[in-house]
Amino acid sequence: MSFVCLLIPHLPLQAALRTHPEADSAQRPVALMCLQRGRRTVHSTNAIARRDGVRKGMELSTARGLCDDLLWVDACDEQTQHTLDALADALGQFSPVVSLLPPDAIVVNLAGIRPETIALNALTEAALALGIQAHVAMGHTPFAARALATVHPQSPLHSPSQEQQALATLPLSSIQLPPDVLDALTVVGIHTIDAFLALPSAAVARRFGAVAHRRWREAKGIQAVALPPYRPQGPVAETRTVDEPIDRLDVLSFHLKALVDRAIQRIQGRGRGIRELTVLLIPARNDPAGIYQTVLDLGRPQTNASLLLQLLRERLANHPPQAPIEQLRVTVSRDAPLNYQQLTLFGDPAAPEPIALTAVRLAGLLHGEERLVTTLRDEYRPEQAYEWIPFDEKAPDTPDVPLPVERPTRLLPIPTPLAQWEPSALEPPWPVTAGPERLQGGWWDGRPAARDYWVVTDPMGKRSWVYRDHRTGHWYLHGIFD
Amino acid sequence: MPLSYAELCTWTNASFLRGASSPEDMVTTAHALGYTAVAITDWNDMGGMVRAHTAAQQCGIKLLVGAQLQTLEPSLPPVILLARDRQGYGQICRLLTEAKRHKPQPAIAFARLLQHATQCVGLLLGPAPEHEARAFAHAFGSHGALAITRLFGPGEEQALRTRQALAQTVGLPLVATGQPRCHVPSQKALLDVLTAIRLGRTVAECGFELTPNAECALQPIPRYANRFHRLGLIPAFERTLHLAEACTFSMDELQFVYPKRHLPPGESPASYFRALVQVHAAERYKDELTDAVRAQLEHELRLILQLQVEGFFLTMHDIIQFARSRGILCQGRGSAANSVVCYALGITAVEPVSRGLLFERFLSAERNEPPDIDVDFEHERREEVIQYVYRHYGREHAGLVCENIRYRPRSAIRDVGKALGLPADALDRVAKGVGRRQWEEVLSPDFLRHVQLSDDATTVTQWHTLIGQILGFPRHRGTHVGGMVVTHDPLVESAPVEDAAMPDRTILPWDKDDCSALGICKFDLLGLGILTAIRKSFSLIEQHGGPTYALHTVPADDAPTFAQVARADTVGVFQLESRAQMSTLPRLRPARFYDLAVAISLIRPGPIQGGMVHPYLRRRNGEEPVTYAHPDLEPILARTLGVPLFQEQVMRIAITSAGFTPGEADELRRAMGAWRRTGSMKKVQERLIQGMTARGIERAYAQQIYRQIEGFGEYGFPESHAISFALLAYVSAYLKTHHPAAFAAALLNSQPMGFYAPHTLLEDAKRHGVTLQPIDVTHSHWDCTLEEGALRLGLRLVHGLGPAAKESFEQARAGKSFVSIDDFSKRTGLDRRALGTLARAGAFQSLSPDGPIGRRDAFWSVLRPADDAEHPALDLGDDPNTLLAPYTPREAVHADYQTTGVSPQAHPVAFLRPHLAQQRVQPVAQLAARPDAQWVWVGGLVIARQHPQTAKGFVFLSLEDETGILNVIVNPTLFAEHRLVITKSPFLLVGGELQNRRGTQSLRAVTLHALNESTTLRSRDFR
Repeated sequence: MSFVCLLIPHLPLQAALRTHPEADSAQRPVALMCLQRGRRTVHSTNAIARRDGVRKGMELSTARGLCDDLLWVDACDEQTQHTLDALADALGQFSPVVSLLPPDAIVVNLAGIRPETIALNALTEAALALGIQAHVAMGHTPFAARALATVHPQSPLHSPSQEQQALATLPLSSIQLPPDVLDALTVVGIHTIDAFLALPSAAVARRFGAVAHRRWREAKGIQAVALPPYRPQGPVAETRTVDEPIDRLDVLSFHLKALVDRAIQRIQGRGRGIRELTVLLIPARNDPAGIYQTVLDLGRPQTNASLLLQLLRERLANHPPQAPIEQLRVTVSRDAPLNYQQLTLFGDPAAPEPIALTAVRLAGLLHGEERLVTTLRDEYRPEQAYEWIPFDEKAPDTPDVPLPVERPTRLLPIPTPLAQWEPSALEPPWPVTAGPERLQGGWWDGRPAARDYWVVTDPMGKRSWVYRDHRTGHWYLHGIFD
Repeated sequence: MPLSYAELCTWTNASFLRGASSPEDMVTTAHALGYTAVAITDWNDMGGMVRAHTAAQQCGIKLLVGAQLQTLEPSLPPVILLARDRQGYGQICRLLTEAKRHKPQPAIAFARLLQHATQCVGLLLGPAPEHEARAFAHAFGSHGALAITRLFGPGEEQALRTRQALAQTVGLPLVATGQPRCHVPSQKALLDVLTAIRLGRTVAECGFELTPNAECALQPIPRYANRFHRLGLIPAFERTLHLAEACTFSMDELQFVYPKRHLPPGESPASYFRALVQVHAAERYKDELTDAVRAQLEHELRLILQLQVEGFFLTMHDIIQFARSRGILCQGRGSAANSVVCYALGITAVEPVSRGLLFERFLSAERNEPPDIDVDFEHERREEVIQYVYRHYGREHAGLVCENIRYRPRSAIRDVGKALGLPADALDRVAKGVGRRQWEEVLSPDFLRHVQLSDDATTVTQWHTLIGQILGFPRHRGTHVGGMVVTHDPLVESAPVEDAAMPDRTILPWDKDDCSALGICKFDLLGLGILTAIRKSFSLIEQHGGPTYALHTVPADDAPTFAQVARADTVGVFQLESRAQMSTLPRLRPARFYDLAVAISLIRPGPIQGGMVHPYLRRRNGEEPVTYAHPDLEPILARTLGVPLFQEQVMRIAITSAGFTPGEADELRRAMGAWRRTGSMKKVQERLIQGMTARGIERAYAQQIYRQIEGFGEYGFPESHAISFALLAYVSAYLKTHHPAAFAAALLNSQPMGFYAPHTLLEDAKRHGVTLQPIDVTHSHWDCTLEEGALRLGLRLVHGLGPAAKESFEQARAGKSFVSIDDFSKRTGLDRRALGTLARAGAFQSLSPDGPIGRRDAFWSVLRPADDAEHPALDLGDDPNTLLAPYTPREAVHADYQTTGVSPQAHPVAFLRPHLAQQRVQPVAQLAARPDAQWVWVGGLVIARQHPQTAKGFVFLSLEDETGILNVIVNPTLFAEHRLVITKSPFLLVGGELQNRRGTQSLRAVTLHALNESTTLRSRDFR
């Protein structure tokens, strides 16, 4: 029996960079930050940042003092887990038994597969296609494969005796001991696996605890590494964030291609195809009005990236986003088992693609996927007191303390000037039902408001909501009570 | 239309982040708007009342004293209580005291409030259920009302209708209020920011927590009256005056009487005080009770009795007596040392008559102020004294003065920036920029671009404005370092009292300035580390057969002591151990007690900025003549060679040379202390200079004196204070000279204190021939001890061992030695982490029958899993551990520093010496023999970094190797180039020009590198 371990060095940093391609490709110092007592501190760095003196535990301000052009991203546990899952999905192409080996490795069980038929660089390339750099090592046990992967970026299968020799001199940091155990072993002068294995079993158990003892037994080959098989979790989704918002379709297509490729890589690893693909494009500052969502309902499971990209390009050409895009998200919202077909020399004359294409194009032309809904916000300014959110998202809670006052049933998107009303008048010329209600706020966001609102009854007997702008003295109609 | 109005409900910034104007602004603006009266009703507090009272007295408006109380019942609105008379004021104080015990927010039961506010005006701030509203109307009768506002808020009209109906139903009249949160509408933005800070959100996230408009300010009377007139509610507006009239209480009625309970029968405070002073004076002076002393004593007694502050002295005497009875070392400092009475009563240790100290600096009839006595106690035992005061005088009669923590530039930059949603890391960098620069400079376009904040963004402009507005606003309430108020009557009748953060302490809502304004005498009971160290030194010396010392019995004028001080061999010596002092002492060469007072006063920011240091040193060394601008100045400045160093000298110059009265001179002293904050010195500048020129002093010299006075700022010492401190400096220097082991042990046993970390103190002790014995659980105690002349390190130095470990160790070892590590582990019950640290520190080495046990072996034997809490001890010998190699000497020193921060074995630099020697790096001790201006390399551990604001960007490092300490001067350019290395590297290799002049050596750094040597030591860094 043999195993392949893919170990992802600096996994949280790699996970963060997967969604920031510019940071990943740029030859500049990058640091992953985590929050400690409310302060951003360095969690890990790329080699350029390390060369410039940025170190783990350093505060962001210090790190930026060292590197003027430091690019930093926040650590995200969800992203890290997602990256591990993505790789596990893709590795399903190589073996039906794939296991996560937290916190940063995946083991592929080669049971029933001749090790020499597995090219290690095929696995690293599969990882690279997902934007992940991994160390790969083969071993006769998962323990050995993992330990070797920590030290050797690509380690083929050795004979059992060679493998034992190679393991003996590895540092203890390669075998996932708890930090306090590692510290204690360092204090007593034990630094390598062979020195660790030379300790009596009972002493390890009594003095270092169950986890250390398990590692000791795994290293000895007495106990197998527990490897629950990986079960795919949730839909396949890939995200990418860019520094400079994108306003060109060709650039957008470029980024979408990368995400679709990754999604296909993963969904194929699960042995399934894409039945429905949802693309969400989020503009800068997450402005709800600019959010773009499109859904490709494909009729049958697909793994053809070119087809999907062609459909997306057409969709975007017909209905381009209204604002420059900062974040792209591709989700396989429905998948289905692939209908494997025997390859033929001349292709299938009754190919279903044209039907899928038509359906998708029609949905795009009808623009039916833009579904938004309003929700209330805790805010005095009427035009700021609501926001648009996608229809299918969970609506945020309404304000805890709603305003104890009646508001018009219809709010005009742009207040209508009441030009015939006297600007110098402090009160409206129509009968007043309620008012004034004075509003002075918004100084903090560049949209200040200073108004006196009144509820008035117009000559037709309908109630209207009008205001006088303090700065100009002009009167406006802002809402109507139906 | 009525043109009179009284505002019955206001919040000021004393409501802590709920009001956007100071009490003073609120009161003076109300007066300017023509209000008949204004009430200050802060949110569950009275912290702003004294300032409001002072402002009201100055402008002549009637101040209504009250507070807003939250009710415990969620369905009931808050209530405003206003004191109708002294009894009503006491009721509010008691209710507030009770409300403050409710956590997390103060609140009180509605029924209790109705029951105990009989002498108050009560306003219900919102609609209540009918039953409770009736009860309220019944409780307050004609002095109760339901508050209404007309501020154009959303839903206000509906609320008005509801309240009108309720008022009619239950028979409770309506009364108009504006409920202002700021004095002018332009403070609205600041109010929004304060709300955001209080809620921990950005302003944009605060939503309906913000006020809807800027009507939350004091309203012009005609405009506000018109709003009620239009609603037909003028009677509610007029009712404000009727209720204001009902309130006759003034803060002037408060009287704080000193405790009287402990007088002997038949004695009045005055008679007892006079007799007590005379008895103690005879004891203290013995044969030296001269006529001059008697005359001064009589003068002081007359004045004290005239000012009726004898109770203050009696109480202070009682506190001192308690401390003495418990063996707690104490000494008065500050201007109290100018008083013979204080000396006689044992409050101070310095005899004032023989030193010609000015009593009026302490107490004068002209100022008619209560005395201000600061007494230092051993810092570890001060709490015993504070708890004695609570116990002896009664918890209801004593409380600590508060200290309102106010916004300063750094906190304002952070909090306002956060409220405006600016990025936290940018705020961090901007805030850290303050200190070197004024905050306005930090917000310059260049700096903001540097931290990637756009300088032209509206938010940044608002940020700038709001920081200016919020500076000085109270942020939260803290406890004053030691100011206590003790009264004859229950304190809770005179002020609301609340629990302090520390257990068993209570505090008043007023700070020291407020207490002073009310004429409340406070007793400043301060903690001082050196007193602890001196007392522990005395005890150790006595325990080991040495002489018995007290502060005043330490042999005076000891030549070896002065010689050591003159060599700047002063690590650990009170006030003389700083880098700046050490570089000055060889030039000053103190040879008598008064020189120490001069040294202490000279190296202070005031004299340094005033340019007094070098003239004094030149004159002292005969390098320039001692001259006086005017013959009148000679008697004043002769003792300090013509250079003003003390506050008293400045006062006397003002009196003698500029025609100031003693009272005006004292005003000058106060202005000197506050001019940075208030700019008040400018007012007296011209008067001072004109006065001096009129008396024949050249204008240029007068201006120079003024500059010196200005430089004094708040940093100048009174002479008496310097003399009090000089006594402690002398005693500590004497102990270091004659009992170095005991002194070093006492300093270690008194940590944290002083300028240097324990490892520097120990290295210094080694250089003075003290033999160090390592920590060992068989021989060591918790404290460091003396063992046949050697210093045995104590377990208190081991990192991670706290009071619980101390107790279990001492109990376990009482009467019986440990026989093995297992025995130690079982009997002490210490956890695995503590046992591991002790093992690595080598503390178990004597616990093996087979000879000293290695640290690794000891560590192995105490190892057990982190989650194994059930088995505190392990049997030894259950597994072979012969594979474990012993520590090398270098590993042992490294482990020492990791586990205790000190090493009795070697200095870490000693291990680098062979390598350093190859690079021709000099040991510090050899530099004294090197010529001045020679290029040298020095390598060592950075034990202190200083970046003084007065040093124009220069940074000073104290570099320590195994032979001594060297002062390294880093110029601003070099610092900018190597900032990270200088601030982060524990070990440095520095090359530069040696300055070897007048017995002091320092190195002017030209180049520097980090030395690779891992250590866990941290330097003590100062600004």
